[in-house]
Amino acid sequence: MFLSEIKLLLKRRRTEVLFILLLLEPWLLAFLIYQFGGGGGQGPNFLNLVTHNGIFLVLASLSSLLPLLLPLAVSLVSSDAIAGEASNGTLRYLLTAPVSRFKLLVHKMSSSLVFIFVLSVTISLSGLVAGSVFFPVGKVLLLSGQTVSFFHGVLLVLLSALLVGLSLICVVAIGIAISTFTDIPVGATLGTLGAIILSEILDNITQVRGIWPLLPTNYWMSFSDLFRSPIIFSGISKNIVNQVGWLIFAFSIALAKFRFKDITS
Amino acid sequence: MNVMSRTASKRILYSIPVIIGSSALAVALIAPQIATAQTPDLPSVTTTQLVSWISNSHPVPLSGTVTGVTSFPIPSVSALSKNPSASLSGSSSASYNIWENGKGSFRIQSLTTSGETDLYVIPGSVWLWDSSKLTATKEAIANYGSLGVTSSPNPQVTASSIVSKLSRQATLSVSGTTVVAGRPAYTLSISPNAPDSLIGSINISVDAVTHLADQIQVIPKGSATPAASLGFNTVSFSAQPNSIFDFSPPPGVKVVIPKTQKINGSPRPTSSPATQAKPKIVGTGFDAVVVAHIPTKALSRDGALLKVLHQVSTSQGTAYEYSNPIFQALILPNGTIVAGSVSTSRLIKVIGTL
Amino acid sequence: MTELEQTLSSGTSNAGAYQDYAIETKSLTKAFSGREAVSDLSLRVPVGSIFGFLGPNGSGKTTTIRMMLGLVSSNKGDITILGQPVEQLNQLARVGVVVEGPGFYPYLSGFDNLQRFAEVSYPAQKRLNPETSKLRRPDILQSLERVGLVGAKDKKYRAYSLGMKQRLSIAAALMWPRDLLVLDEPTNGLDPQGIVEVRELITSLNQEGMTIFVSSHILSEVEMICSHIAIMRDGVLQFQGSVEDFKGSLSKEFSLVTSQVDLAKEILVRFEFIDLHSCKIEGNHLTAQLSSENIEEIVKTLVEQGVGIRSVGLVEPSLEDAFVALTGRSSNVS
Repeated sequence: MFLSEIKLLLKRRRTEVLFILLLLEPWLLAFLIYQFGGGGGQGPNFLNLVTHNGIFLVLASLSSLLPLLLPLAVSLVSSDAIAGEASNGTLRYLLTAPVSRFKLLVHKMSSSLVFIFVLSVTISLSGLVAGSVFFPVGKVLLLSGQTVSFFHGVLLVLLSALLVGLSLICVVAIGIAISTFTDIPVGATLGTLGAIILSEILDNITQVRGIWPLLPTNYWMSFSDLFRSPIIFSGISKNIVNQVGWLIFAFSIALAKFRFKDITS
Repeated sequence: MNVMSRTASKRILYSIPVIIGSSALAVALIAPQIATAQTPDLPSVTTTQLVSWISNSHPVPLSGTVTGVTSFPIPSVSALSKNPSASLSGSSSASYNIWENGKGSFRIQSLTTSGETDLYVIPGSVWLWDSSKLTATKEAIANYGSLGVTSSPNPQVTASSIVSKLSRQATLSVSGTTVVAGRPAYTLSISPNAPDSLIGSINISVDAVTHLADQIQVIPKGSATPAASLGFNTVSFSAQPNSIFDFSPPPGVKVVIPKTQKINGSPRPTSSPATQAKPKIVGTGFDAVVVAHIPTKALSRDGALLKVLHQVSTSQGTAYEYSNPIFQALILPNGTIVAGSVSTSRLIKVIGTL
Repeated sequence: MTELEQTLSSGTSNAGAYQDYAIETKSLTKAFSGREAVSDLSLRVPVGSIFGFLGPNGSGKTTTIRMMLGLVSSNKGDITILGQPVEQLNQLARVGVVVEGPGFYPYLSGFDNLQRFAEVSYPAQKRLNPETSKLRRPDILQSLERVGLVGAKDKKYRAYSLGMKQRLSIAAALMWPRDLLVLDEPTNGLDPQGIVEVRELITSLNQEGMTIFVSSHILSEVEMICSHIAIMRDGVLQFQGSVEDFKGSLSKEFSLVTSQVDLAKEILVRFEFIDLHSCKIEGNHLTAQLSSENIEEIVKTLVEQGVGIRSVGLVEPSLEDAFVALTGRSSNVS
């Protein structure tokens, strides 16, 4: 059933297009930086470091995709979980196959989780290749001004890809929860994306400072702490707790809604 | 399953997210208050003991995060000129990470989302690193005071200077115990004797184990909440590897060596015009008032800024008054600034003597 | 989730416990936002029957079927399917289902769609019968062959015609060994040839021993193959039993052919032989429910009043007429 979900995801043309577009982003970014420079040495999001070392193209790509495009891609997939099956009319046939509703949610959730990690790792690999094609690679300069070996740097890049994947857990969880409330996939996608954008907005309003630690996007950029010396783990570990918390919270909402829902689609 | 039990299980299922959500909210909103409200049981100490711990401490290896908070804004000049009234409300806070090896080396790290600024200090070498500009600036060891840092900026250093400068004009007492950075601590309360002081007390927390000051709070007269505080959020007293303090400019970055370095350690010329008179201090301790002068040109330039301030009449004309819970300043039309942690009437009195 | 675990582990222990009824509902009631869609419904579907579940659109048929399959919960009442309460999902592995039209992934081919459902259903089949093996490519091709879709197996489902979609859903319902087939309006969208094929398929599956529960709003489609029927109107069961019982329950109709049909009607009503409401006239053919059984007296009276009679007699009513009488609507209107 789990493998079947993965196959279902990968056989879809839309998923393939999403993948290709996201894998091309590092190349586009590399080309732009190569042509126009890295923002005059003041650029945010590692742009200023890319020309210094191609390895930072991965971080520049991930941090430029993370606020909007990655959540969009992931919410397209995760919000399709139940709402998509409902709108295809396949939900009633899955449940009479029969598959228990609990297991269906678990399989939808786990296949989406695999999707986000595959996505973030492949974007990073694409970024590594693009970075080394366009820019010099070698010893890696950390944000703290110290340097580590190239392979140490590659390891850090792969770790940060995993942490970006991890940051998207909340998008999967919220998407699946919302998708149990509607039979319209587009509505669920917009709802999920809206929730993420709302979180990003609240994260900048000091009046609600008290709930910042609970916002799903609050620790999203903590992966950059890997590139400090020493590595600062507090943000990273808070992000892990936050994402797992959202996974459990949103899954429990999805289960409460879906377990006894009348399937009329 | 009958209808009754289905309704029951439905209710149970819905209660799970409700419980998770409300307990997360509770932890986020209430826990920080509980943490600071703790008063651990510790063996009693005398005021003299606390004062001697603070004054006679020796540097130890440590790492931690220091946060300074004020209940009033500390606006930057550029923010002020953009929107004077907005930048005079709210609060401000700043934090930095700090490492010390206990033998004179330390490092301060100020973080942004995807960059950082570091001050690496080892005896004989001071580097300022800025990752957003990719520059490493070499500072002369004697000059790093110009960066606003004369020694490791940890609360202990500040506390010992407060105790040595202010304790004679104040009443000292042990005001109880508290928890700082998750560690039990004693609190020494320093209340000014001067009647004109705005400050109710300065509370210094001293770690119960290491006997180092780890938090300083300034509490205004007639208030219970601190107007300003500086202290560790997290701290660990353990040996620090040398690699933390090591810095040499990495290849490919811009290395800046300021010109003053070449004048062989002579003090950097002040950035202010030579015509400006040196600030003068009237009185001592909590009563001290600083009298300084700025060019009237600057006054007219920042006219918009001054307009949002109160006006007070003095013997030398109408002054603009800047105030926050623990600090007052009067700005006279001739460019004289009179300021201190004292009441307005004391400032007006000082103006009368000029 | 102990309840789920129970559901998953209960396995085959009860399989074969049912003997009389493949489906049994007791006092089943379901309301959607206050309006009762199904009221106090007690259905008994005998094992081995072809059970026609009839009623106009909106009479509660689909809601009933969804409750039988655990898709919709009931407000009141119990459902037993193949001997087990419907909440225990396992026995659904023995039920082939076509509910409210086909439902497949538009971006997958017909073959890939069947393979998807084969994979999804496999764990439940395996729990019910540990010797079950996965469906391989030839098995799926065979299912497609059965409904004549082998040629279109690699075509995307979205390119299928409505008839092809309907066939694919029947193929999916028959991929695994089934004891019961629940077909909701299986002939929707099929051409006359397709309808005949589905009918033949149903009959042959029934002869293999499968119980078949088929719903329709068109009586004529199922009357010739059903052994049992139930008729719904506004969520309330109007009749259930064998087709013979249903026919037997109907009173015979008076039938008269005459050139003076209007005069005949006026006389029959005046003498209170027939009920005005049941009287229908088509050309020179009059039919009506009789109030009196004395046909000799009726003929005598008609002749005395000068009505020429071409033919007269008592006939069995058509099922269609009975259906209309019970449901208040013609079954051909959709």
